[in-house]
Amino acid sequence: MMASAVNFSGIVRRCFKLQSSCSLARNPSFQQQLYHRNNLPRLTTTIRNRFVHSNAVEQNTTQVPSPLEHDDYFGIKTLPTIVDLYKARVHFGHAQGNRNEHMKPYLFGCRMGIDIIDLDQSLVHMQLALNFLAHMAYRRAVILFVLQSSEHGHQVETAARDCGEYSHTRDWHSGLFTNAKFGEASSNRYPDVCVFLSTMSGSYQEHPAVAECAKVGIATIGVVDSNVNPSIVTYPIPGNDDSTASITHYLELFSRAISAGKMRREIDDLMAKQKKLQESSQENRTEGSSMK
Amino acid sequence: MLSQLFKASRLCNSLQMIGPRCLNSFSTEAEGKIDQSNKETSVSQVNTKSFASLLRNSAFVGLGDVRKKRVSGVVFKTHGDDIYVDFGGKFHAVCPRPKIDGHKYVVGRNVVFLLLDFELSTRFMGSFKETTLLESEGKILYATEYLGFQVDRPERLRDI
Repeated sequence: MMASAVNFSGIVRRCFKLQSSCSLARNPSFQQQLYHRNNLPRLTTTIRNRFVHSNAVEQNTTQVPSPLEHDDYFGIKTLPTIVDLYKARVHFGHAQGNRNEHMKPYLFGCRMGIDIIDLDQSLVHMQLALNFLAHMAYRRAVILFVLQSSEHGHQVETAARDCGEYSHTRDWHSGLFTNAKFGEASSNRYPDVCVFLSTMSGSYQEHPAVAECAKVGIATIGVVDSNVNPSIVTYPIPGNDDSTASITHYLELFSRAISAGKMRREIDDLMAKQKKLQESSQENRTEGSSMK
Repeated sequence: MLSQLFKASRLCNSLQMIGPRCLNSFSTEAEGKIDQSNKETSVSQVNTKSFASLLRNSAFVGLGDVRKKRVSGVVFKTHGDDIYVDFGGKFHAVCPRPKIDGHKYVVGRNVVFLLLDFELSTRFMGSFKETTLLESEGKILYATEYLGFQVDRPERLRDI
């Protein structure tokens, strides 16, 4: 009896439609992942049972592209929206006299002497940065949140701790990265990504960590305000770095991206494990039948 | 504290204007005649708009020259006689406690605020760039009777 190829993603999609009525999370892909995670053992048993009596060559029905080839592996593109950025006051830049000329392309204009950041561009940059962050979290990267601000430092520390990553919100001692004992001899390790909630340090100068990351080869994601030089930030996000509303919103977005990456990692590991068990049980079965 | 206020009351809108145009809505709020359906339709319209139209229709642009305009704000911190007011701009303002009804200015209180400067930033001699204080400047005019995060409850507003 030829068992039809099981459309695994079809099963998930049908179940997702049932779930879509309740609003567990704003992001539909998040719901899918949640359902997937909660029902994985049940789903894979169904598949295995269907294949038990099949003599046909098993095709790879789970045609999941590799994460890097996928356009939006974590469903991150719908996470930031222009309305949310607008409500979080991300479009407010500094006064005209504080402008850094490198930020001119990212500005929508100047209203009554106050620079307004173009949120259409901010959205695109935010999507790129969040996608990168999710991919890094998927690959078990060490992520360091950096912000030197007495107002928001504690908030950043809490957010970093809550998503299981690290933060540095105190004074930066020069040479922390460039003059450190890293490598095989020591037990220390560089972070893989540095996320800057603001690339200015408390004393109106560029945060020294931005340059140190560039020297040492650590990728940086940085919120760049209109008074800042975005040149050496790997993934700049033009936006307001002074309002509490903005900082809260960025931390929310970054946390969700990291969670999406980590959750997907768990799911994919579980899938790989199940697949291995399935293959080994198939081998045992064929060996047993051939011996007979 | 401020981040919690945002999450609770969704104060993340641009500047709320108190002026000749808005005094009507202010008085209808005081009489408890808020039309809730209007609020909902405006939110759904906002979701489909572009940034250019959001900005064009924002209270910030509507104010024109931001100096010497009355705006509504909320007190988010007090330290002795220093009152920190957030009026929906980029920065907050720190004002001295008013002599009249000083006890009313507690965290969460809505105030009517005279904005003097959106950002305290000037150029000093010998420098090409301006130096910013990362603050706004303004003066508290008076406190309103309700607390910021209870604005959406019309029953509360009828008590005025």
